[in-house]
Order: sequence, then C-alpha cells, then structure tokens
Amino acid sequence: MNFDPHSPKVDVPPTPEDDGTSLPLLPTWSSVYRFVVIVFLIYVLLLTILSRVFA
Amino acid sequence: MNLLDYLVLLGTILSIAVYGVWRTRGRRDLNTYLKGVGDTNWPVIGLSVMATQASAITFLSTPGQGYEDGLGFVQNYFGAPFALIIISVFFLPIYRRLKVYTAYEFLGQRFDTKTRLLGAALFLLQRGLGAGITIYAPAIVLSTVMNWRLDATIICSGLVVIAYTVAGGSDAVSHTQKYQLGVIFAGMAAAFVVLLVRLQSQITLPDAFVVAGGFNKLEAVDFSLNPDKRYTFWSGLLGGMFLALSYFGTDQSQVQRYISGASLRESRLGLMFNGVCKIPMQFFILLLGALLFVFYQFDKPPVFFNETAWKAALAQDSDGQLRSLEKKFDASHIEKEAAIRRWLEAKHGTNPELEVKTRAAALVAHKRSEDIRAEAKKALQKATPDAKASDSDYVFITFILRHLPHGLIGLLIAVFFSSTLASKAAELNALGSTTTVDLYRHLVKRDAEDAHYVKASRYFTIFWGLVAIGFALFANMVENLIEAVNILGSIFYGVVLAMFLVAFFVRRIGGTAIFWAAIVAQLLVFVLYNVLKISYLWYNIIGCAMCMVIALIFQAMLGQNSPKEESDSLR
Repeated sequence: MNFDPHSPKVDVPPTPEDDGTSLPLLPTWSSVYRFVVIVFLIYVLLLTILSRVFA
Repeated sequence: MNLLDYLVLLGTILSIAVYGVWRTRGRRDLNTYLKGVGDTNWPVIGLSVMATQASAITFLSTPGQGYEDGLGFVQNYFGAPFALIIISVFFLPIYRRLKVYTAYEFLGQRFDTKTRLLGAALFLLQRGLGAGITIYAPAIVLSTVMNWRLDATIICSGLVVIAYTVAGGSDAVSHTQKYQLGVIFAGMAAAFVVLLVRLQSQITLPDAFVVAGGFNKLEAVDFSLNPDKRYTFWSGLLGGMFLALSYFGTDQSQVQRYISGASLRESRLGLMFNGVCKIPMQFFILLLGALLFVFYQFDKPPVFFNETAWKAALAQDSDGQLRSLEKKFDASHIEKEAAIRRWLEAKHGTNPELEVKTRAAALVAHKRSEDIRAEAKKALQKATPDAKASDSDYVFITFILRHLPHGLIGLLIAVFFSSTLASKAAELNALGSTTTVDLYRHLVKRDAEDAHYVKASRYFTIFWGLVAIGFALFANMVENLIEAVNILGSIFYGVVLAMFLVAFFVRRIGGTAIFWAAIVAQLLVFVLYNVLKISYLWYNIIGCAMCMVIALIFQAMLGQNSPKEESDSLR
C-alpha cells in the first residue's frame, strides 16, 4: 500500500481544491487554525477570570 | 399550553418539515440524494454539524446540569476545536478527494473490502442500537410534563422525521437543520431574556452572579490534576479531543454533514465555525441553568421538579411523610431566601467579617434545604419504586411552563422537538446511506441504476426509522438507558477511531493486519469491560491504543504489505 495523506497518490484524479480561504483577514488555512486556537485560549482566559472573580 | 402554544408548535415543526420536502423534491440520483447537489455553503454545513450533535436532551438537560453542578461541564468541549482542526487538515481533504459517500468507503480504498465492512458494521451496530434514544429521551420528559401519551409523542415525532428524511435525503436534512437551529437559538434566547427580566424583579444582575458564584455555580475552569474530579481542564482537553475526533471524524452522521460541501473551503469553514461556536453555545446553556438556580433561590421551586412523579407519589403517601417534607422544604426555602438577602446586604456594606458570617449562614441554610430535597427523593422512591430520583432534566421545562408567556411556551416546546428532529434526521440519513452504500451496493446488488439505489436508501431509512421508533417505545424496559447507550458508544468508538488513525497516519499497516487487530482489540475491550472497574470513558482510549499496537505487531508478523493486498486496497 502506498498511501500518503499529503499527496494525491490514490487512483482518483487530484481535484483543484481551493487552497485559499477567501477570508479578508485570514488568507491561509494555517491562519484560520491559528485564529481558532487563539479564540479558544481567549475563551479559557475569560472563563478562568469568571471562575476567579465570583469564587 | 393553550391554543396559541399549539399553533406555534405545530406551525413551526410542520412548516420546516414541509419546506425540507419541497426544497429537495425530485432528487433521483444517488449522489444528490446522499450528498446534496454540491452547493451547500459553510453556514449551512456549520449549522448542520451543530444541529446533529445538539439533540433535544442537550437543551432539556444541560440547563439542569448548570443548575445542579454549575458551569464546569463546559470543559468537556475544550478538546473539540483541536479535534476539528485535525479533521479539517487530515480527514476532510481525503474524504473529498476520494469522493466517498460514507467514511467507511475510505477504509475500503485505503485497506480492503473486509475492513470497510467491519467499520460500517461497527457503526450500524452502535448507532442502530442507540437510534431510539434521540427520540425517547426528550419524549419521556415532554410527555410527562405535558400529560401527553408517551407512545403518541414517540410515534408522531418519529414519523415526521422519517417523512422528510426519506423524501429529501441529505440535502433536506441540512436545509431543515438550518431553520430548526434558528428556532432553537431564538427559543433559547427568548427563555434567557425572560429569565433575566424575572430575575431582575428580585435582585440586580451583578448580585445574581454573586449568588451563583457564592454557591460554586460559576466554577467554569478547574486546572486540578486530580483524576477523581469529573470535569477538569485537562480531562476536557485530552479526553474531549479524543471523543470529538471519534465522533466528528468517523461517525457517518457527522461525516455526511460536511462532505456535502460545495468545496473543500466550505466544508472546512463549516467545521471551523463549530470550533469557534461550540464552547460559547454550551456556556450559555449552562449559564442559563446557573441563573435558574439563582432565580429559584428567590422564587420557591417545587420540592421535586418532576411534579407529575411527585403527585403520583403523593397519591401513595398514606403516612403523610411526603406532605410533611413539602412543608419542611417550604419553611427552609423562606429561611434560605432571608439568609441570602442578609448576605447580599452585608456584601454591599463595609463590614467584611459580617459578609463572611452571613455567607456562611446562607450556605448552611442552602445545605439544610438540599438535605430535605434529598430526603424527599428517597421518600418518593419508597412510595413509587419505579420513579427516577433525578429531577434535573425537569428544571428548565418547569421554568418554561410556569414563567414563560403563552406563545413562547409553544416556541420552546418547538425547540425541543426541532432538536429531536434535527439530530434524528442526520442519524437516519447516515444509517440509510451506510446500509445502502457499504452493505447493499457492495454485497447484494452491485451494478444497478442510481434510481434503484436511491429507492433502496429510502427503504433503509424507513427501516432504521421504524427500528428507532420501536426501540423508543420499548426503551423503558431497559434500566438506565442513556448510560447504557453511552457505554455502548465508548466500547466501540476506540477501535473505530484506531482504524481511521492507522489509515491516515501509519502507512506500513495493511488491511489484513488492521482487520484482525480491530477484531482482537474489540474482543479485549469486551473482556476488560467485564473485568475492570474503571469509568467507561477510558475504553475510548484503551480500545484505540490496543488496536493500533496489535495492528503494528500483526503487520510485523505478516511482513510488508503484499502487492496483492496493495492492489486490492485500491480497488
């Protein structure tokens, strides 16, 4: 078996999948993923503050 | 419920279902029936993924969870954003590139036919057995509080969902879910606003947060490493990521939602939408529960929130114990309310010692009140042994029926039905697709016309819908049903996830090694489940790890993948 998730080696034609996100401030997928992680960290920070303030 | 409520309820439910059928009328080829016309954009995908996960019990039970235990449950979703990123990077491009209808087709292309069938069979077994729960769990609550017949509630909601899922296929599910989720958000927001207004007639909003915090309902994040604690940051991040990876990445009811996107971009953004919105959504539902707790410190709650069960027990209360407990609870509530008001007054004053003292007194009064509630639950079970002692599922619905204006009550009941229909439709759609594509088309009739497979898919969807209704009708015969289904899921999920992780990341393992490893690991999980006394959630990780290690050992024993196996795997 010669299968690599990063390259289209399986017997199906490679599709011209859109690499761009078409988002104005997040042009690449890595920037979108970074954004999701940063938002997650902000949620954790806000929830931690909420827990501490009203403890 | 009055006539206006029933009009709102029926109008909402039926108009969305009819829209789903009309929007997707005339779908005849398999591709559009199972994946839509390929024009689904990311908001629809995002809402569809969200609606599939959020069943009615999410909206009925989660406020009750917030009422009982506070916000800590939100940590269970901390792993979800990371799991969705992994799926977006690794799983999704391959599903789309291979143009699969089901996730298990990918196993067939990567490994071989027998591994694909094993994956599909494990999904059908697990999801098929659990199919009735999505209908049963909310039906039992709604029929109890509304005095509806349980069987009629189950059959009506089951038939509506079968009708539009069968008629419109995957596209109907996605497009109806969009509006169902709209109804859900509108209803929950309305309930939240009404709660805030009612609360502010008693105390200010900042004071409400002080009371919630004072009774430990706002402890949202706990960084403790104590494994005995049920909800911590670490268990949510690691365990939650693992569970979300299994559920979103390999469960066909979710995979079918996002592979139908117009492009990879739309599917990815749909997943990232959930990565961003899932935690705040759960937070607000839990916060609603925490604020309901505060509300019921100033507005006397029933001693037991399942009032129908309580009334049934009162009828058996020959020695007057339940009535006496009711009176004691009422008196303790008056004392508690006064103690909390003294504490808030002290908090606004300048004497910190008095504040500490009055807060301690409020906590003691609360404990006394909770002790009476616990005693009442025991007495209830003694009077009516079949009654369930937990009443947290009834907290939110009790508030809705007692405090919301007519019209809004109908809308909120529509919320619960909409969420039942949305998640049930996705499940039935996935069960019908997997049975058609992975079993029927592969094992029974290989080269038929698309119209034939669409027809077969419709029949299989009806079949699974009837199984779900049948299971839900007889569900009360099974003890502790929801936990049983969760245990079932945890027992199977680990091995299924391992099959996919090996497929994506361990190139040297072939179909024969993973197939036998999955079977051995699954049997070992069954054995361990009967031998070990650990939380069932651990079997997700144990099953996955065992399957991957055994597959590596088997592959080492078998040597390198043979060319025959390689060609078979690409067939």
